[in-house]
Amino acid sequence: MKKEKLDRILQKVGPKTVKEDLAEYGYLLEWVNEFMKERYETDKDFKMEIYTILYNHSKRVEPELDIYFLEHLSYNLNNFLGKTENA
Amino acid sequence: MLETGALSPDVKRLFGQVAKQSEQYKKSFEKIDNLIKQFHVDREEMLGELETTRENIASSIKKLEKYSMDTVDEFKEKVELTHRLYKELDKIDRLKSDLFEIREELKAQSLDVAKTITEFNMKAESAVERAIGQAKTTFDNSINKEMERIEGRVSRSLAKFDNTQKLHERRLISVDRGIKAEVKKLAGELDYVYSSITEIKADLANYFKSIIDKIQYFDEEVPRISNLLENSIEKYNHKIDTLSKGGIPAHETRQERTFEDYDEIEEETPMFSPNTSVGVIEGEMDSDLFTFDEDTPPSKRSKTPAKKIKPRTTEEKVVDLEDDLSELEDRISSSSGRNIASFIMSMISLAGLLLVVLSQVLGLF
Repeated sequence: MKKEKLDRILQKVGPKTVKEDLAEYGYLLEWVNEFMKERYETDKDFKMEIYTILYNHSKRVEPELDIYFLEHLSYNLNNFLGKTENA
Repeated sequence: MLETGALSPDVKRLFGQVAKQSEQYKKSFEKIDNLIKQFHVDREEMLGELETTRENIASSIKKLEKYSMDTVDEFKEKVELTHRLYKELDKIDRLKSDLFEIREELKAQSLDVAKTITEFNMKAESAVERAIGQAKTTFDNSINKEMERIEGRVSRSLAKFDNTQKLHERRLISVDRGIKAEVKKLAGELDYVYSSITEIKADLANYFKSIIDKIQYFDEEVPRISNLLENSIEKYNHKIDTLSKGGIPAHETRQERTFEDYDEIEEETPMFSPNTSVGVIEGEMDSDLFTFDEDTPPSKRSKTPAKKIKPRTTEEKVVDLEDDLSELEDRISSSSGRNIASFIMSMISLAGLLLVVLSQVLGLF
């Protein structure tokens, strides 16, 4: 079984984690910057895990996540435009 | 819309718009893909058609070139033909003009020829009549000569034929006479053969009859002779007895005589002669016993004087009879063989004569 599928099943079935609780209350980024800043900046997987938890459980707007999605969008749009123009 | 609270509503709207646009893009891209695929298919078809049209065009161009070449050649031929026809037409025109000229000339010549023909006919008729007359006379003469010659030949050949016919008739008559004489001779020979056979048959019958008579006579005479013999033996015995009792006289004794003396005595006085010392009974016995004259009864035979011939015994007579029979058979066989041989020879000679006559008759025809 793939890890992503396992994570989705665990999110539905398993109990809430500390990170998910912190994300729900809006303190996850502060906690990560406080205690796991280096890993958050270097480890991309970890960063993606934090973003996923924020996306699924946070109830307030996270500008960092907006920026991440917008960057990703602009990157993809640029790719798309480049491909369409070349084609 | 996104159901998260982490993103700002503007970003969400933006993502919503992006999603819508992406959907539209997706649809438009699908359309474009379909169109591209269709375009590719159409392009392939067009390329195929283009290729086929190119090939068709090339082949049609070739055909057209060939057709054009053929038509050009045909046209050239036809042009040549028309040129030739025109030339021929010119010739015909010239010939026509010549023909008219010749016709006129012929008219004039025909008139001349008619005149000459009539003249020639007149001359030819007179010449032919003359020639026919001459030929008739010559033919008649030659026919008469030939007829006379043929008649002479025919009369000569007829005379020859008559002569030969007479000769052959004479030969036929002579041959017929010869055949008749031969037939008569044969008939005589056959009659002689038949008569000899009948005579031989009659002789044989007489012989057999005489033999049977003799056998019957022997059957009758044998017991009588045996009685006579018995009587004579008894008499001799009686005489011997009397002589032995009374003594034998000197002139009657035979003891002194030799065996040769007995033979002489026998020759002088045979034992069975009628004048023996035995007496009348002995003479009777001898004459009856050993004389076999034909057709003479025994009573007459007894009275005939006895000859001085040595009488034959019955066995000798039977042997003589057998000899006579065998001689007779030999004579019959020899005479019949001679007759058969003469008959065959006469038949062969007759066949030869017939063959000669037939060959002469066939030679005539």
